[in-house]
Formats: sequence, structure tokens, C-alpha cells
Amino acid sequence: MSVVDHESALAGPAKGKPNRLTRNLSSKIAALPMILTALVIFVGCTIWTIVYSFTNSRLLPKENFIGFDQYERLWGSSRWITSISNLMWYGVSSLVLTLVIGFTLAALLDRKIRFENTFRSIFPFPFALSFIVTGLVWQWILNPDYGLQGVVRSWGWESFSFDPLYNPDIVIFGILIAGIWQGSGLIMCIMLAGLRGIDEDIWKATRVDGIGTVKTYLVVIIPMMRPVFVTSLVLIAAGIIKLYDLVVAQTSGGPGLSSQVPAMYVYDYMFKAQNLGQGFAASTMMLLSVVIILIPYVYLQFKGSSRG
Amino acid sequence: MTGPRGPKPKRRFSRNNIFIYGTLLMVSMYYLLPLYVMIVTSLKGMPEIRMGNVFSPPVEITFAPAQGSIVTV
Repeated sequence: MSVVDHESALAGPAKGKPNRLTRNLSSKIAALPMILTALVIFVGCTIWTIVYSFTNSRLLPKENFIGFDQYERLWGSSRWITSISNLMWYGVSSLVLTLVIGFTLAALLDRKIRFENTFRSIFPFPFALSFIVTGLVWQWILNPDYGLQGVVRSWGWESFSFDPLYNPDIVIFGILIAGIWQGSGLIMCIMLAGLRGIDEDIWKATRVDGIGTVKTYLVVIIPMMRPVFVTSLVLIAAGIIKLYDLVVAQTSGGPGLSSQVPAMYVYDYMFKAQNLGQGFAASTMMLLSVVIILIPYVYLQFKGSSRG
Repeated sequence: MTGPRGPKPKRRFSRNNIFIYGTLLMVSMYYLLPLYVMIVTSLKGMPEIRMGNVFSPPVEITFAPAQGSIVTV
């Protein structure tokens, strides 16, 4: 209440009490289309998908509710389990490796080296390429006959074996190589910007105190860069959940079903197997996992802003 | 007092610098390798792509479009 009074006092001689609804009316009207679009398209369609995931829709959505049957079938399918475990492996490794590589490169570039601009343009350039191009090129390089393995064998090391894309046990790490190649440069840029934002006096102070460079990074600099790490984390996590085109370009889910990911499962069931209900159930599970990841993030952000 | 004071500056190729530049160069290889493959392969003709490996430089530079795909998984 006191806030409103204060604002009306600032606005000059107020005519009566300001109405909360009509205050800034023109800007509210201007924002209305955007709000409606967000509500109808994002929230509305999400709810629609969730509702229809409880039906047995095949080619077209039908209101024939069957409870949790689709979800039971989903979690009983070995293909979905493979997809989830693949995404977990890819997600955890990609998260850790991208953060470590990104921060290490940024820290090395921040040591006042020569040719910094050259290195700084080499690392993020893969981010400008699409996942399809990335996937195809790495598919060539990882091909046992034409790529890395073939070259090393032609040098005389006949028993050399490096064919992750053809080995069902480690195929997801073949995809990881390409994923990190594509994504870590951007994280390096963000980290470098964060490092540049650190006051030079901090470095002077730690030098006076006789703390080593590596220890300074670990104990002083990284805790100071918490917002930068949170931003990177969200960017990486969004990329992991969306993982689809890289797999399609590199292995199209093979060998067998060993490199399936959830997004592929959703697409295949919706548009190839014509089983909308199953696809909706799978996408609802994906949404649920995003929400589970998002809640701690929102909490962290909120906590950070309220403390200033 | 005139002239520079303090200890003699470190040598240019200290162990630290070798580590930093070595790491950066190695990592740049990882980032530039696919770019090299892309450029080299784009200049080859289809028979040459099928014969050699993806890293070999093009014997005969061609700009004609190549039909078909290199490898299929």
C-alpha cells in the first residue's frame, strides 16, 4: 500500500486514488497480444498435450481416456529405457566436460597470452555450424574405413581401433565428441567474459597473500563467478534435452537402437508409428524432467536476486 | 635511482608458457580438424572421396557437384 502511495506522489498531483487496473493502461493494452500468445500457444498447447497423453489417440487426437496406460507402456518399453539412459550418460558427461573445458580454455586465454584473438575465434566457431553439419563431419572422421582409424592403420599400427559409432556400448560417447566440439566454445566465451569481469585487485590481493594461481582460481575466482556458471549450466542443460539432430546426422539411432534419445522416440511415435498418445506421453515425461531441472534454477535465481 | 630494478625478467619459454601454448595448440587441433576435413572434402570429386581417407588433400581440385553420399551408417 505504501509503495502505491509513494508512486502516485511521484507522479505529481494525483486525481483521486490510482486504480491498479487502469494504471499504465496503454502499455498494458500493448502487451496484451504478447501475453495472449504466450498463454494460448505455450501454456495452452502444453496442457493440451498433457491431456491427450491420457488418451489412446492413434493417427488423430481422440477423447478416449484410458488413464495411465500410455505411461505404463512407455516405461515398459526397452527403447524408452535405452533413450533415457543414453540421455543421462550424454547429459552428465557433456555437462561436466563442457564446463571443465570451457573454464580451462577461458582461464588459459586470460593469462595475457599472445595470439589471444586467434585462439578466441578458433574455439567458438563450431557454434556457428548446424548440428547436421557437425554430425556429418564427425561421422566421416569417426568412420573406421575413411577416418581416424583408417589413417592410423595405414601408418602401420594395424591393431589400432577407434570406432565409437559402430560399437553399441560406447556409441553415445562418439556423439558426445561432436556435441562437445560444437558447444564448448560458446561456454568458453561466457566464462571468458566472466573472468574479465573479475577485478584486477582480487589478483593483486591473492598475490600479496601468496596464494598460487591454480588455488586462486579454485577458491576465489570460481565462487565469484557463480552467476556465470548458472547461465552456462542452463544453456548446456537446454542443449542436452534438445539433443536430436546430432544423433540423426551421426547414427540415426543406430547401431540397432543403441543411440536412441527421447526426442527421437517422441518424433518416431508421433509421425512415423502414428501413435500420438504414446508420443504425447513421452513428451510429457520430457517436460516433467525439464521442470524438475528448472525448479532449482528458478529457486537459485530468486534467492540470488532477493539478496542483492 | 634510474634504470629498471628488481629481478631479471623470466625467460620467454618458461615451463608455464610451454604448458599454456601447448594446451591451446592441441585443443585448437581438435577444433580445426573438422573444418579441414570439410574444406578438403568439398574440393574432391566423388571417386576420390570413395578411394582415400577424409584427411588426404585433394589430388585434383574440382568444383563440380558430387552425387551420392560418402558413407552410410
